[in-house]
Amino acid sequence: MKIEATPDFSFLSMLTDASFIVQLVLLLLLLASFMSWWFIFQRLFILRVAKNQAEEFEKEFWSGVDLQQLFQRLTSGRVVPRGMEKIFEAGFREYAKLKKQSGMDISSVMDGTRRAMRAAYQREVDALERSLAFLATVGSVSPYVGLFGTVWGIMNSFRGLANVGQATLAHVAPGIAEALIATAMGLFAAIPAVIAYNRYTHDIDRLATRYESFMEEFSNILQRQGR
Amino acid sequence: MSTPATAQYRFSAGVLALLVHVAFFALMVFGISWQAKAPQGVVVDLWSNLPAPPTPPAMAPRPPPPPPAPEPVKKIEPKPAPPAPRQKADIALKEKRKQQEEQLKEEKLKQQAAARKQAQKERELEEQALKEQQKEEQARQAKALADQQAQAALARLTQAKQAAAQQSIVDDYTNRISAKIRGKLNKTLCGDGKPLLVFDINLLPTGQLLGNPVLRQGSGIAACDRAVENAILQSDPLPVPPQPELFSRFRELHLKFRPNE
Repeated sequence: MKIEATPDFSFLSMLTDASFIVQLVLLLLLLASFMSWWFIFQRLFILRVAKNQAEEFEKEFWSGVDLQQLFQRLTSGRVVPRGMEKIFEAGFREYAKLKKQSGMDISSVMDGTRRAMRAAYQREVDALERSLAFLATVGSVSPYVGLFGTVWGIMNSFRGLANVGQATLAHVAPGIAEALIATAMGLFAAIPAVIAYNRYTHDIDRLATRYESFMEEFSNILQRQGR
Repeated sequence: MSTPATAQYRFSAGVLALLVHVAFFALMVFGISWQAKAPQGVVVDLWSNLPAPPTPPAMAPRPPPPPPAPEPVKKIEPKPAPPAPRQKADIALKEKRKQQEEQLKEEKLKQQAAARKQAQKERELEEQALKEQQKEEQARQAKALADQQAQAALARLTQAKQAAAQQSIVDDYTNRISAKIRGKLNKTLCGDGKPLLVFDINLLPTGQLLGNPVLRQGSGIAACDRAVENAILQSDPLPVPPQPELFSRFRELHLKFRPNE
């Protein structure tokens, strides 16, 4: 009258016992998860720094500093200007160049300045958005990859069941548990990727809006000076 | 395009990502108990009540040693008669020859008799071996019969033991059920008399109530009936034996209550 012992299986033995396809899927998902977490942390640091830089620069810009001096400091510094500084630098450089050429009316000078700033802005936003596409892909695809691994594992475990005369749950349970690890892994890769993607696109959108408003305000100031 | 800002965070981000995965892996390996455990209390009670599981005797009696092979019958080759020396034509020798012939005849007769004796001996030996074999066979059969009987007796004994053990488990659980319900019962609502209430309940294998208890015989005091019903509902899930063959006796319970006893 012994109580039927439950099969003792550990996480590691489940990994090693899984079929080749399932193991492959797990490896793929682990790689995707690692890459996505890597990008998540990279973006986290980069976006935080970009936000701080924008705040500091705006503070400095609106503190009434001389624009010529600000430009000098940015271009002479050893650090390459980033973000809003870069937009300011590009705009001011173009403005100064065009202003030197005689015979240009202010509207064409401003047009050239705006184009230069727009180009710098697009480059900056593009740099911020790097590897977000990867996060989006991992977030949308890895659940399906995990599901594929699970379906494959369950198929195998049912095929094994066909050879057994008396089918019990104990015959399929380990196989299904093994297979479900693939789904778990897919979700583990996907959930942070999706959350990070949404969060970061939102953050980048806000930064881009900030850059754009700065561009408009800065061109207003330049236009006033140009007259 | 690898700007210095990205390159700066590449390494630390990689280390952090690695840390996250190590943590996840550790959670999977150590955090989740992958081994289903039976509820502890049940197991303890169960084994304290059970007799030591009888070790079944070796079912197949050892095969008897093969009967000794009958001794190989020795073939006794008749000794070839010494060849009579050839004799030249000689009267003296003729007589001798006659004598020799007689001798030869006698020898032949002797040999024949000896051969007969030998054959008889062999036959006797064979018979004896046969008898021994038969004896062994009988003994073996008798032993097998005895073994079978002993096994049957043992099986009956273990069955009886098991039945007794089962009965003791059933009694144990019945007591536990009544104790659990009794613990939840507010007896003061049942007055001072000796009311008897009968409830029918259906149980799931987990011990949970299936549907509401049905009052078959009330005490006549509505508050008391309600109190008992509440006690039954509150003691959900009831303790039931985990073995399916024992649980079948608990599927439909006919509970009799004497709250004041």
